[in-house]
Amino acid sequence: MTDDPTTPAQIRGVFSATLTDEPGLLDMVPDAVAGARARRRRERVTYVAAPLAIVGLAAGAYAAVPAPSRGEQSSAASPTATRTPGAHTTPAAVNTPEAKSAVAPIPALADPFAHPGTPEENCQGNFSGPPTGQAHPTVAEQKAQCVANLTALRALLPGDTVVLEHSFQPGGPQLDQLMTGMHDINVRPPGTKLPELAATVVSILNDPKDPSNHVDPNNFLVKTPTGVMKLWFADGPGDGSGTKSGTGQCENGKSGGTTSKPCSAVTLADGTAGDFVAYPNGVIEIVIPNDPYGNEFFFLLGHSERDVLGTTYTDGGGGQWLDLATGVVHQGNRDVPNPYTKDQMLALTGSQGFLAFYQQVAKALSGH
Amino acid sequence: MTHAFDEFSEFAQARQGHLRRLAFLLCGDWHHAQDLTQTALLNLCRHWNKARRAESLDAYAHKVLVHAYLQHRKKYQRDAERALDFTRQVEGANGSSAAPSAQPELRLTLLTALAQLAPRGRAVLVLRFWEDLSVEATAAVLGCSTGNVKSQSSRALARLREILGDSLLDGFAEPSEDRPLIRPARPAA
Repeated sequence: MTDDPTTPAQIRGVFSATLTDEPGLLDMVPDAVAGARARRRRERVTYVAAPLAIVGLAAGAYAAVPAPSRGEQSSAASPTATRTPGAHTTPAAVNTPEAKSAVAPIPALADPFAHPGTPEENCQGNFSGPPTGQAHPTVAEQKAQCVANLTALRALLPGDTVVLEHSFQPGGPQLDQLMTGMHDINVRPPGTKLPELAATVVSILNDPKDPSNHVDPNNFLVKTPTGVMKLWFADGPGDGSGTKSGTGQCENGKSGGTTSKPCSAVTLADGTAGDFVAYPNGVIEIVIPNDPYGNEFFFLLGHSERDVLGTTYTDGGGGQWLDLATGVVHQGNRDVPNPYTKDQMLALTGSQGFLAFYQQVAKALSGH
Repeated sequence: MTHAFDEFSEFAQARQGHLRRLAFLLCGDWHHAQDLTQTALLNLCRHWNKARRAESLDAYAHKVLVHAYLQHRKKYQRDAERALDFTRQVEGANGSSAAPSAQPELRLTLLTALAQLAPRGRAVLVLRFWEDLSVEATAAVLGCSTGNVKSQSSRALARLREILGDSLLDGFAEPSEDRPLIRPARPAA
């Protein structure tokens, strides 16, 4: 209170006097539970959904650069490099006001694999810090987790290039513009052009110090000889149903969930049982329902969505997203094959290296 | 782990009314308060495994709610102005007897005054004097130092007194449910 003569009772009285028209309470709990479950499902698949994207992205972004600035390399651009999936101009795009106005140049997305560096060098960026109400993991601890995870993953995937993924999370000085833009993506018809929004997001992704550029010690990008993908893992409580959240019970080779997906059993090197699930968009998921700490562990590989705003994968096939290379709004899934096959994944998850990685991650993420 | 959602539901059912009132005191609009509480409950549910390990679930829920409010404070501030204008129009058109409050003019004056406080200052007042949290607990919820809480509190109180005037604020001196009938002062321009 310092020297102010106001008493707590006075302030409480002020607050109390404003509460007189309180409306009846609507039960918000069922929606919160349903929302949390749905969001968790989306995050598991959606977040992971995106990698050839990097190739498609670099390609699409490259195509968006004015021809004179491409120099001699323009002749080397492949057909896929000049057009990202679904990047065609629809009549809707032509008829929108945005399409008629001068299109802002969209910068090319930086190549994250150009300078992978050591794990210590690569694990730099805006880590989120501890969750609300928690003291840990601190930013320093998250960086250490990142280094440990990246070291383990590079050892696990010696033929690939693994780097930390920089993703977009609205915040910073452009918050209002970005929030409005993200709303627009969901409500504007497919084909709408939003090049300024795309340019802003690409600029953010290219600047690791931008407040809207975020990194997570459990989200990585992997470049294989045949493609680029996102690798993501997490460990936490199940959905309370006793079955694997997001995929449902695996029976007769088919999972549950909104869309049934092929699934089968998987066994880690120490005999730990889990499930292998193949999503229709090429995403592969390994689920260990019970880790040593009573949590559920999952590990996903799928195409990166770093080149889009929104998601190119939803279980039901809906959803709209912005192609950052072209600035055009699209709808629906984007089918990108996973560079890893089922047999490769089964061999990987049965290895001692994967077991050590799983044990390390589960221990760190469960706070032990 | 399998009962995580049951645990959350039990906690949320018991606390959602309280959290919505807290949200209203932060943003000054019942519709936004509903949204804020919904957002906070969703985030709480998503991170329930961490929340349940917290020293105090209530404190954790406060933090989630205040964080949601501060994250979108610009929107709530902007919309609160519009909501107040609308309320003035409705209550002006219907007359004071139509409003649930016995003193709609006083209520509007108070809401207008609270809307003029800085979001963090308002949050400090709500946590300190409505939730009755200690300076240390308030600092923990806001993620700042105790010194910051004290200075924010001091500034917000001074601002509130400046807006409402001594006579109005002093009318709330008695912690009684029956508020004294005081002619509200005009809020500062």
